[in-house]
Amino acid sequence: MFWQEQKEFPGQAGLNVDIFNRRIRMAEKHGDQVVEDVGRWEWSEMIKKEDWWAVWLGFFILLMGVIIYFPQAGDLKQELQAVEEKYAADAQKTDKFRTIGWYQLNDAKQKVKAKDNAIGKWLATFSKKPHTWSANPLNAFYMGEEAAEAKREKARPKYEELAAAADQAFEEAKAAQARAEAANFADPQINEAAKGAIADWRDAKLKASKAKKKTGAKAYNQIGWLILLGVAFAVFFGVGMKAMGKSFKEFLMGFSFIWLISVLAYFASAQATMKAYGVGYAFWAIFFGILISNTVGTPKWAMPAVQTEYYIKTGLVLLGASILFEKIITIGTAGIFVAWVVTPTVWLVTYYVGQKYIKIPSKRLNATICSDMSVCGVSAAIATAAACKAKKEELTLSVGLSLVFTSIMMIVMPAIIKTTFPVDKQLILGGAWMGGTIDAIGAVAAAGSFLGEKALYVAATIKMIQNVLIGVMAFAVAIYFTTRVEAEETGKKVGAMEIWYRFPKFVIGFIGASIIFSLLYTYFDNQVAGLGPAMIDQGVVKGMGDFFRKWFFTLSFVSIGLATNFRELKEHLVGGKPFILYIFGQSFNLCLTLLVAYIMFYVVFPELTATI
Amino acid sequence: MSKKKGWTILLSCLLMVYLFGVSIGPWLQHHIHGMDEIVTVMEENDIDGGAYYYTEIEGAADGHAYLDQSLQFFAPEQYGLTLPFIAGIIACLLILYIGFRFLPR
Repeated sequence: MFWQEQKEFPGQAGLNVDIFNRRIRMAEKHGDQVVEDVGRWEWSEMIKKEDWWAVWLGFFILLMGVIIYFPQAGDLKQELQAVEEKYAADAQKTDKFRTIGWYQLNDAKQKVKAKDNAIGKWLATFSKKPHTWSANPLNAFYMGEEAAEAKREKARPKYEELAAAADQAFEEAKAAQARAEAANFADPQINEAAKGAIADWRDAKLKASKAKKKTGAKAYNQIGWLILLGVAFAVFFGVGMKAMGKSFKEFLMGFSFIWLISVLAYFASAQATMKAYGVGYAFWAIFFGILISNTVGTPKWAMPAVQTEYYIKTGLVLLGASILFEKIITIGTAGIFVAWVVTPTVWLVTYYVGQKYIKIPSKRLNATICSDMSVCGVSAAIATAAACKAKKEELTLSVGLSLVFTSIMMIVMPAIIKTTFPVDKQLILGGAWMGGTIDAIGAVAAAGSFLGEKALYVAATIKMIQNVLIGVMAFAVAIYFTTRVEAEETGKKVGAMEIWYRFPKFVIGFIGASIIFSLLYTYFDNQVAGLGPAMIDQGVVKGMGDFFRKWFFTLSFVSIGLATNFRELKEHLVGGKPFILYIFGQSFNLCLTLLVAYIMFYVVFPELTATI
Repeated sequence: MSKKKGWTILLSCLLMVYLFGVSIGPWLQHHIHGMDEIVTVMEENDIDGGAYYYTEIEGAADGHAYLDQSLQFFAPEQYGLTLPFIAGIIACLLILYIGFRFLPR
């Protein structure tokens, strides 16, 4: 089994023995030699096992983030208080519509970010992935000053035009709001006109700010940075490998190959067409890995660095820090029912159908596909696969299924919503439906933006709340597989200590990071609204954990690909059962999400919907 | 598989990927209903269609700020740990507990 070390004992050919937290003892019983499976805890595991190393390395990165960003808390608090003082009165002038001051308060708060300090900016450059490119592959790594200037020049006239339009729209919005204010916000017609003028200003401002970004094109040479980052990661993971008794030198040699393929995966995912089709780095990492291993073969010297679990579990600890429980209150009660009640229902029903009727041979594959389809695609698949100790091919298959259906749903769902939903329900109901069902957030954002800004906000927020559910689901799956599935497989009942022996220890780091950073988020946000996102979201998470998490997942996916054989993958596809399971689950998900979203947003909490 | 065959397949696949990216993909895009519009929206809003997690998308942070502030200003009674909200969380945990407990062996 991929997630467990395996060993063949002499005279016991083919016997798979998990020696991760287990000790296998040959014992005499009734005159026959039998294998006895004995769980035993040893403190030395904390420096000898990759689960624990994932926790240490993940927390080391998070601790660095805390050291770099937390000293700024006082300054950012003052900055946010100043913003409140400046705009709060204007923002609360009326509850009839969102005033200019309301938007200015919102915009100003969002600009306060801990990661905007010098170290944060350096880290962003240090960990940067290859740049977006269209036809010239070199643009992924290098752009000279001349080319950058040409880009800036090209973007400038459009920006100037849009900026002028935004300024004019702002003046009109101010005048319209003043008229509404003069009427004491009591005239519905004048209020509507002000609301419309403010919405026009927001649209114009958004367009201008997008255009402004393009006028800031800078020259870059990413090659040196990528080499430096590769060396840093090799040493970072190499230290753990050495402590686990592996050769540091052999790991470094092998890592250079894994790193090269990881960069290649990002290079492919940065291509404009691939971005448009939603084909991300996870797919390319697995694809290139499988392609190499099944054609020219994975070089033997690279094998010491093919350490899927080590990279993935470290990435998951970092992911844990971004699972912030305060996020789930964002869209209120309606959102929690769509994201947190529908999702586990779909998961359990699909799993049940998969076992009972479709008869998926592997419970782990079944669970991984269920999370992939019902929770949030690749991230949930990774966490679940690690929690239930799925095989590498099972994770590969789940990621592949998600990719295919995400691309299709990204195009089909907005079209269905536009043509069949009543106009007044397209943005919120449509947004909630897409957010609850499309697997990957990139596709959710694209489909939401297609419908409009509000649809994007609702869709992305529902998906964000589902992302937070990853922690709960991974924990539940780990417990279920430890106490039920593994107990059935070994034919033994498990007690509390046995659960501890078998439990994937990195989950402790994953859940621990989530709890610690959720508490810190609430602690900061209680001081002044906005400090939580500024310090945690826009600080330790985006300014530290996220810079490295995606790279770690890529390393793990490359490792999966390099160790996968087409034949092994084909075994799981026999009879098309995974496809049938995915299609059944997603169909059920689409129906239930739509129904619950409608009931919650338009029947139970219509007044909440009116505020969006 | 011989080395020569292996290298031929590897390089052919890489060439096909490149061709899909620079010519076949864009051509196909124009022939899939609605795809051009989606791609335009993605380019204009700088959305990475391949993003897997909410922290990778600006829209999630913007949406969070917008909805959070909207609820706090316009429906404060609906914001935070309200009774229905807590009921939603409990429902989720109950579904998971009962579901996992009674899944078939």
